[in-house]
Amino acid sequence: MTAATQHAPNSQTRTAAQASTIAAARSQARSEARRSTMNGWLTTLLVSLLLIAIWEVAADLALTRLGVMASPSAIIQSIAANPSLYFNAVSATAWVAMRGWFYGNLAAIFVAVVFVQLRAFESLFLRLALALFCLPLVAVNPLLQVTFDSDTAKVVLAALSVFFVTLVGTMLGLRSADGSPMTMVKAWGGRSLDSLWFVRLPSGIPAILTGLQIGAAAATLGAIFGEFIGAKAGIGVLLINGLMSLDLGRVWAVAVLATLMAAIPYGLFGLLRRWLTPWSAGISSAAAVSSGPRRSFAARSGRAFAYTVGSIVVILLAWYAYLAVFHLTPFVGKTPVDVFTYLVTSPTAAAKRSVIFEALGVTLVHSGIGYIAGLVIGVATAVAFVLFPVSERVFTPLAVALRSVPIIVLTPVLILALGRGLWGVVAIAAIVTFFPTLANTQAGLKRVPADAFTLMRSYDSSRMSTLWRLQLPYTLPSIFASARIAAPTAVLASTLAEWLATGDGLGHVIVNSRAHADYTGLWAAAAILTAVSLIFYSLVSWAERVVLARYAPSYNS
Amino acid sequence: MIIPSSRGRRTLRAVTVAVGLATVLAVSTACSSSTPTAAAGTGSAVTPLTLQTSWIPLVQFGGSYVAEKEGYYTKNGVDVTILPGGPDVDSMAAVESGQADIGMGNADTVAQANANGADLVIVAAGFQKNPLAILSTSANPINTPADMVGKKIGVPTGDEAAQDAVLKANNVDASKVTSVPVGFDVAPLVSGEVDGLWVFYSEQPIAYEAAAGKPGVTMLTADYGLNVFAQVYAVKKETLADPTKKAAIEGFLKGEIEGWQNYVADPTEAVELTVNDYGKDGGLTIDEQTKQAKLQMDLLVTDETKTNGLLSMSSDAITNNLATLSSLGIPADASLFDTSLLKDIYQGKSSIQ
Repeated sequence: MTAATQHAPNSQTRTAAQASTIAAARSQARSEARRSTMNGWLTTLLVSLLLIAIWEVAADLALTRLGVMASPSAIIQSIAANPSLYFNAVSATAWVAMRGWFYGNLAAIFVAVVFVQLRAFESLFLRLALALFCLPLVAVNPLLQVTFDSDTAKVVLAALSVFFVTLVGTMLGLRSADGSPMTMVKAWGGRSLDSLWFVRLPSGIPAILTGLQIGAAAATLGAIFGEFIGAKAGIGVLLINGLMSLDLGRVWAVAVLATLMAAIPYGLFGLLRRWLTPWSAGISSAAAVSSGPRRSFAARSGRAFAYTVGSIVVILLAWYAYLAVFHLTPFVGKTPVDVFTYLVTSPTAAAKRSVIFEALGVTLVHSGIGYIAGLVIGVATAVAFVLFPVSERVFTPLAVALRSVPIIVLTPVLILALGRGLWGVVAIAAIVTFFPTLANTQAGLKRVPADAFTLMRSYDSSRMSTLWRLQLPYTLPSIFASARIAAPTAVLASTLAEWLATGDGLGHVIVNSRAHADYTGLWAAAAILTAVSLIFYSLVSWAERVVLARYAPSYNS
Repeated sequence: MIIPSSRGRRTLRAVTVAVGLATVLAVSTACSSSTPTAAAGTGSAVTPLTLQTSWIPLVQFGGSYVAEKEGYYTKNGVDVTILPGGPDVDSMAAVESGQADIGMGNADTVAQANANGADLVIVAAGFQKNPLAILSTSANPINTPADMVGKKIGVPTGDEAAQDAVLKANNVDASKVTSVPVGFDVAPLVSGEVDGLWVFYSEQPIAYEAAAGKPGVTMLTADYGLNVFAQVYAVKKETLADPTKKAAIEGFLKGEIEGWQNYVADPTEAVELTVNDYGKDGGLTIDEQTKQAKLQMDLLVTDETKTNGLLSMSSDAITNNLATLSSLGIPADASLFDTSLLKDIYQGKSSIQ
């Protein structure tokens, strides 16, 4: 190779000797890179094997006896003993998840196109979409049960689980179209639809694919949770039977399979995205808040107020429309007026309110502590990965695996491991916040341009200073993007754990209301929880705008 | 301008992949949805009915499985679809919303639903005794409610009122019993986190024995004042007002009783149907389900059913039910139960042929 370079025609003023030195250095660098990649893979492999070995020993020594954890060999035995059982369960759940994933994403992409083309629709209906995302699953499940037949209900639940994230991602993608191609289409007399077809859709594809990728895991979660309203086959059925008979091998085999069901499509769609849209390597998996056109403060707050009121009206109308379109029996389907009466005007309203608000306080403590802990630890871990690259090698496989565990499977497993106290719930809320934060922060840190590093080096900046002054500010948009999506997820996770473990908070109120046929109580608790999640999300968005305007002004969505 | 053109090709590729994927899914969905659902075109007089069970398929519903497989339903003019339940299912809401014609639940859940605006009536009672039980370890046993004093009891969401009622009925000071919320597994008892656990009499004790290596102590709350029927069959009141529909429900009950008679005579068929057919994807074992089926006999068969037949609702038992409901704070009166169908079916006998 060196020889070939030597004899290559040299158009520049470089001498043959110089060229040869450069080529030698390059080839050395390349083989070093290859070797370090090989070493990296080897480290990852060895560490993974070591972790599995530790798991095996710990399980055999104590954890299985305590009823906490099955060993990897017990899991493999459980699957090997009855492969067709697990195959049927996985295919039953996967079939529901696939359909939910397909329809949910189709609807999300369609709605995103409408929103991008017609901005007023977005202002009025985006919060409705967000409200659907914030609805507590524990309340949605029994309602879907009486709305649709059981198969459709499961597909709808899976579709609902993927809808919002793809919607937001696609909108971001469609809007990411460069200014100049859009201008060009306009200059050539193209209409809005032309720019949609020639510019927006092509540039939106990476973001859409990212949505499809993330949606695979969300759809799996929705499909498993749907089995809790009645199923003959599926991962959820095996989980329930496994828990009832305390068959740890089965419970953990289900956890591993559910994780693979989420992780494999995630990986495949990642590959597909890189193959289809190689230019998109740097696209964040979560979307940033879009900044609207600048207007005066008064005009902006006036419009914001009008759209907020409009959105609330839209959400209430959608509530009525749902009851009317599906002819929900009044026994189950309660209107906003029923909820208002229940909470405000009925003679027992004060008692009901105090129950709900006390429970809300508990849920906020669970999700708040868990959320903040998840964010802080997530960012800290990503930073540690940058400072100590070897730790990244060691822990990334573990993080990737754990982030794919569907929360409905994770919750009972974590309760077995951590107990049912406050910290069990907090840990669950923290974990669902931690993994996306870690992944997004890692991705954000990797996108810092090389030039900026060169600049910092030329100032002889220390590693910490580079991190603090350059890398973290650059990463803020990614951190916030995941913080926003994680806010309702932390609330959702808390309610799930409250149902299955602690028996307090709004999760308990919702399930208890259903157990006592108090559907107004269920709607009231769900409405308040959704409103709180919406506010939580909006507060994070607001903080995002303020912080990004101050620390990352160059960042455009 | 190399990038845009390669970008264009990639876009085309992406669109092709997307369209291909969409077609595959759309076609497969269409195929699956066009599959005819069990056309029961045998007789003209066969009425389709839907039964919503309360949990995922287990031998708990074995009698219904036998009735369907042995043709006891169709013999009586009904074609029954048995819907599986789960932890998040509400059978009463399913009946009230018209998703199912018959829902399985407990007498208290039906009364609760009625108190909240439903109009349901119980036509038969599968479990004469409420299966809610308190499981404890043999080293630290809870044999009577008085033993609960000073202990930590795991109570799943929804059963808190039942615990209060049991303690009250037996004059035990509720403030001396610590309640801990739990799910539906016996892990907290195995690990020693709780001293007692609210369980389903015929299910979790089996799992506990398998996990702990020795049997636990089970206290059936029905023996201590919690007298509510369980696994009752509830229908809408308006269903019974229509003579044709009432006849169909009666036909269903006849088939159901025959199914459970078969089960009581020998549960082997019910167990096999559960493990190999209705619950075949649930990973159940013959051994475990046989144990469950045997324990369940204590709930199904009582002195009462020996004279009045299975699924019976005697007036004494109804009085006891109403007393317990009132102690649970649930308003109810005798109109919650309609015994006319059972009377019609049994005609004073204690079994049907």
